[in-house]
Order: sequence, then structure tokens, then C-alpha cells
Amino acid sequence: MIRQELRNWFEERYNVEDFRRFARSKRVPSHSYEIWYFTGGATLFLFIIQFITGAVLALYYIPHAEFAHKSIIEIVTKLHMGWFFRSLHHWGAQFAIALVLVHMFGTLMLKSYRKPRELLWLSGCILLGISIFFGLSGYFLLWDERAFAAVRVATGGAGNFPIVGGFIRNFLRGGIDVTGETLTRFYAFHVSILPLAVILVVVAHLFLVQYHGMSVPMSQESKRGQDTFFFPNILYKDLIIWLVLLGLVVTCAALAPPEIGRQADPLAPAPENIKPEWYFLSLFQTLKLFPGVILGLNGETIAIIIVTVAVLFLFLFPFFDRKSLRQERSPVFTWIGFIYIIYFIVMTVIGYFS
Amino acid sequence: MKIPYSLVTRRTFLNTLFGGWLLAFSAGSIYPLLKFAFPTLSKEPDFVVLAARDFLSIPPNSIRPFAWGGKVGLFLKKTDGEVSALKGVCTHMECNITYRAEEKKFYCACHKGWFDDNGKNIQGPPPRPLEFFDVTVSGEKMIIARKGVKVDTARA
Amino acid sequence: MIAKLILGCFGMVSGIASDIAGGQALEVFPSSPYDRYIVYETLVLFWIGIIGLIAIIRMKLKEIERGQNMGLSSNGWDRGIKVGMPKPYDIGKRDMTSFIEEGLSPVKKQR
Repeated sequence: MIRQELRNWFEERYNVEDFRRFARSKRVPSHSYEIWYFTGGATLFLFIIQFITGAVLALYYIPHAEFAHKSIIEIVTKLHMGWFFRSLHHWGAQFAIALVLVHMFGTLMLKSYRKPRELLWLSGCILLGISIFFGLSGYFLLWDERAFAAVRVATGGAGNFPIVGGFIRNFLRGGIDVTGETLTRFYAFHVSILPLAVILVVVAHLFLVQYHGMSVPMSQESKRGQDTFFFPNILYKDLIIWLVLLGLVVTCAALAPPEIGRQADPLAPAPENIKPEWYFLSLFQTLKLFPGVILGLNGETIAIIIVTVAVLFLFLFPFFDRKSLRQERSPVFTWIGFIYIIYFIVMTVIGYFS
Repeated sequence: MKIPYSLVTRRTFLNTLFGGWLLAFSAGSIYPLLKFAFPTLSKEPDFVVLAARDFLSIPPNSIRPFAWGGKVGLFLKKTDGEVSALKGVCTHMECNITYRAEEKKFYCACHKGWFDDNGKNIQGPPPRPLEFFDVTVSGEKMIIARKGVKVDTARA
Repeated sequence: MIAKLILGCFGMVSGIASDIAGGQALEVFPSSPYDRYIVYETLVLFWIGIIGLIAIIRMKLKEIERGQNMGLSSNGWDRGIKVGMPKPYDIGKRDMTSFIEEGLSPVKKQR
């Protein structure tokens, strides 16, 4: 009864019928690869978890070099279930970045980037970059030995870019070296600048998905079943997948909470066997492959240039893959994409075990 | 007695089940989050342990403050050597009070309230006397406890 | 496959976390058995909640798909289908489904 009255109240003031008609019209194609459609929504869900847990943690974290480490220990030991929410934020980040990579893998292999969806691929790559920066800045806020060394290496690496390297490094560090100012800067990135950026780009990304509809892989065009409704069929399936993901993240968070090392000391030497977070391992390992000096030029710079070219190639993939632009089968580029993925996985595994 | 028709439609049954379960699940998940976000602020302890030497050695007719949770506690040594401890917070609007040694009274500057050295409110808006604590000295330690709280001196 | 991947990631990260902490690891997981059992118990209850929710959502999905396959819209089909009256010249028609109209709102809309 009340529901009906509420409905009438709205219908008397707003044109609900149009909304309903639009909602009814949203369809999702059905074919053998339809499960990949769920990866995007799952990634969004993980980011929502990160926003919520991050907001709550930010109520207690102190972003000052002297108090940062202590505030985290306070959160983890003194507050009710503080250890759990920090753990949830940590594991949520791992899952979120993993899902971004899975989503990217799916769209790369299924060639969802082909015309007319090139902008979706570009905005997606930007989102990957933002997510990784989220991971790096968030990790630094621990202000423990490992995080400190990791950021020193990461920002130092950025400094090896030709011409603009020094400028980028000093901007990120807030100075020449990694100091308390870097902490303040990274906190600003992690809590304000990056969330703003990610919201804007995600909204654009989602709008483009609505505009173009879901891409159907070229091989499946003829094998399509009947389209399914988004409301409520696909929405319920989305919900099921999100619930399973929530269960997994919560289980990991409850059973394997992350530890926190000793407080960082800018004057102390770097600890033994320092390794970055897993999503940086492949890059780290690749850089290790290059010798110090190549043909008289700085090895690091050459390495960075090669890696940048490889990343740029991936970024501009839709424009290089001419065949898929014309909606033709393009096995060469499928293989190139596959090689990128295998390289990433292999280098990550090597990096972990070395 | 079996009725030949269903009292609710299948749809209503499913929707109620879904809504109810979703509500319970969400409430159960949000509750710890809220508890984490809204901790019990300014929780006062049942007792505090201080170094006896620092407090017993103060000159007569003077006070020494100590931490009582998030608030200030005052250790008072009267002219005759009698010691006591009280919460240094005015009973009117919870401003911090100060001790006027010349007049042997506690004074609250917010609304010009006065208490005598036993805590009784003698002048101004404060409605109640100050809260006093029990003082126990055990060796090197001095234990200041809320009235009525039993403290196991061995464990403290 | 996905489960293995996830277990693998979980192992990887906990491995990294314990190596690198360098001996001064902070006791984060509640240490006393009493607290530990509360965590496990809560986890079990949580999963029961999730699996129950998934079961109910599946039931709802099946029901909606059943209705959709019959041709009913998922909007207002609870209110029944209205059958239009056949005209005199419709008598003798074989296919009577053209008389079925979707459930109409019992409350008049005011514009």
C-alpha cells in the first residue's frame, strides 16, 4: 500500500515511464564468452569496497612522518576490529588490481577495443594507471622500511626518464629525496586527487559502455542466442558474483591480515632483499635484465625507454590493430596480446621466487 | 486444515525472503563498520597508576595534574598534609578548573564558579560538588581509582 | 581454476608479508584462542549469509525467467493478465493469445 502511494507520488511529478522503458530496453548479448562481461562490474564493486574501507580508515590515520606508523599500530591494536578493516583495505586493493588486469586481459583477447570502442580502451588504460598509482601511494602511507624503500626505487626509476625524468621525480617526491613531504604528497594523491580522477574517468568509461552497448566478439556474431535483459536478470547475476567476491575478500582479510614492519628511517640503509608489491614485480624484473651500461649509454634510461615504448604500444593497441578496425579476424594481434599477458605473468612469478 | 489456495503469491514470498535476508545481511555487515567509525570517545578509566614519589613530594597547599582518560585529574595536598584526588572538571559545563592556593578554593573561570577544598560547590552556577577519587599508595605506585572500584593492587 | 588462482595469490601475498617484515612482525591476528574462534565463527556465519542470499537470488532469477519465457513482462505481472473481450468477427479464431494484455495498474495515474 505504502509502496503504491510512494510510486504514485513520483509518477505525478516525474516521467517515470520513460525511465522504465529505457531500463527495459537495455539488453546484454548472450554467447559463449558472456561471462567476461561481468569482469568490469566486479572491478567496480572492489573499488567501491576500497572507497568505503579507505574512508573509514582515514578517520584515524595521521599523515605525518612522525605519527603515521604509530597511528596504524593504534588502529590495528586499539580500535574495535581495526585490524580487520585495515586487512580488508589491503586485500581489497590486491583483488581490485588483479580484477583490473583480468578485465583488461578479457577485453584484449576478445578485441572489445576495436572500432567503435577505442575510447573505452584508452580510458581503461588510464584507469589501470590510476589504480597502480593508488596501490603505490596507499602502500607508502604505512611508512615502514619496506614501503619507504619501495617508493624510493619507484620514484627514482621515474627519474630515469629522458628529459622529463627529474621533473617527474621531484614532483612525486615533493623534493629531491623521499621525506615527510613525500608522505603528505602521497596522502593527498591517495585520498583526494586520485579518487577524484578515478570517479571522473570511471563515469566516462561507464557512459561509453552505455552508449556503445556490449561488444560481441567477432567469432560469436553468428552464434548469438537471444539477448538477455539487464534489469533484472543480469543485475541479479552481477549481484551473485559480487557477493562471492565479497566473501572471498573478507575471508582473505580475516585469515591473512597483513603485517607492518619497523618504522622507516630515512638515514638507514635499505633492508635486504627488498621487493615491491606483486603488480610491480614484472616491471622490476624486466629492469633487472638490462645491464648497467649499453653502448656507452645509461642502461637504466635505455630500459625505461624500451618499457615505455612497449607500454605505449599497448595503450595505442586499437590503432595498430588495423584488421580489427575493419572488423576482420586479426590473429597476429591476438598473439601479441597473448605474449604481453604471458610475459607479465612469467616475470611476476620469476620476480616473486627470485 | 489445508486451504485450497495460497495466501501469498510466489512472487511476494520470494521478494519478502530476499528483502528480509538482504536486510539482515547488510545490517550485520554494516554494524562492525559503524562501530569502527564511531568509537566510544573520551572513555574514562576505572583507575590510573602513577609514580607515588612525584605526587607525594609536592609542597602543601598545592595541586599536581594527572591524566584521567581524556580529562584532567588533580592531586591535592592540603596544608595539613592530607592528600586527595579529584576530577579537575567543573560540574557546570565541564570546563577545566584551577586551584587558588591563597583562598584554598577551586575556581572555574568559565562562569565564575567556586568550590571549597573538599569539592563542595559554594558559589556560582555549578550544581553539584566535584567528583573525588580514592587514593591508595602501594610501595612505589599510587593508584587513583573511581569511588567504589576495587583495584587488585598486585595486578595494577 | 579461479579458486586455485585466488589461493595462489593469497599464498603469495602472505608469503611476501611474512618474509619481508624482517623479524619485527607485529602480532596482528588475534592471538588468544578465544578471539580466534570468534573470528572463525563469524566467518562461517558470514558465508552462510552469502550462500543463503545467492540461493534466494537464484530462485528469484528462475522465477523471472519462467515468467519471461511465458511472454509476461517483469513489470506488474503479479497483478494478473487481462484478457480482452473477443468481438463477434473473432469467433472461430484459432490463436486466442492476441487477446492477452499485460497487467494494468489498478490505480489511476494523475497527470
